[in-house]
Amino acid sequence: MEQALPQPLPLAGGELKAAHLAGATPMPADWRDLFALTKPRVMSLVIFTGLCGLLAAPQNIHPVLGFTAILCIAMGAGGAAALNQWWEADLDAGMKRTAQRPIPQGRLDRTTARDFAGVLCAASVFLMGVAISWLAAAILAISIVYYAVVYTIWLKPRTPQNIVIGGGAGAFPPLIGWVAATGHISLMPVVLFAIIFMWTPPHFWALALFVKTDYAKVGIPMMPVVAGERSTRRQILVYAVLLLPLSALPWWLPGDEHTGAIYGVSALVLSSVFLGFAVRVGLRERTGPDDAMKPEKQLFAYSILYLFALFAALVADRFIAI
Amino acid sequence: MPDHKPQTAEQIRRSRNRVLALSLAAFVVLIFFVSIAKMS
Repeated sequence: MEQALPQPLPLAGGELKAAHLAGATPMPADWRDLFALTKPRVMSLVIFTGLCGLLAAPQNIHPVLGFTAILCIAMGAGGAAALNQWWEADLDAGMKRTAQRPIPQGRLDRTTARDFAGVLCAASVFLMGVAISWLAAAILAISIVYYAVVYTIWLKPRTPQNIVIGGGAGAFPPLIGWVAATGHISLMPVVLFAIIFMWTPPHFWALALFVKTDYAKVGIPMMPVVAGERSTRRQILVYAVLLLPLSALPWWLPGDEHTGAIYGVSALVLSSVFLGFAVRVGLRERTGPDDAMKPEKQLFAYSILYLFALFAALVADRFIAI
Repeated sequence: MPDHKPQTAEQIRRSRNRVLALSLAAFVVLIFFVSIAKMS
């Protein structure tokens, strides 16, 4: 059922409503606030999947070059996250979950954040190109533009499908890691990309279900806000069903690229459990305003564990022969 | 999010400059080792 969207706050990228800053003596930016701009917790998943893509590739890479490739992926992800916070500072100020970030809190001014983000992004792409390969650098640059422009600026404020399409940004790290190790794109890293792409909507919509009020307040058209909870729950279920065979696909790939049973069995078990959590969310209704939303929170928590475990199994499969 | 923020602008600036200096030093070391790795 369509619901009317509340009026959004002033467009992200416009003037920050930081009245508390008026008249205050500007303080220099603290390095810890700059670090917080890079969304370190999100970055840990990016680093992990990028590392797994690099390690699962059939060609070995020199440890120093491997470290550099992961560093570049982390810097690129951090730069893109900082660009996101620079652009969305107004929206962040209006949501409980994000109001404590450095820019809405007035601990960091927008220009510093933008410049910091620009330097991180440019340095990551340049270093990747010079040290590893320009193909990997190009994919890294595309992933940064995809997240900062396609997702943050274009899709997020406009369509409830923002997460579906924008989720592609988070799917790049294993592809970049793989290309850094092999120097070319093949079917396996594309499948890894597709797995994260398919995993993102149920992961994020589970979160959006229990923080729905916040997104509604700032006018972000998240699926639960626009299409309603019932539709969102059904779509979570659909994506979880599709994820089950897709996650096992690397086991059945033709040629030399396919994985072994360690990955295949792990993927089937992990995805079946994921589907189980999704079924609980997909087939229930909110019992009332006091509903603790436990199944949604469990799905969100498990989805993070799921991705870590799935990619760990991919690497284990490469190094453990049975 | 910082737990223990320095009290003065001077302390914040010093702390940030130390981190910047360490980052630049690490970058130089990294470039050195990348050069060695690419030559090997």
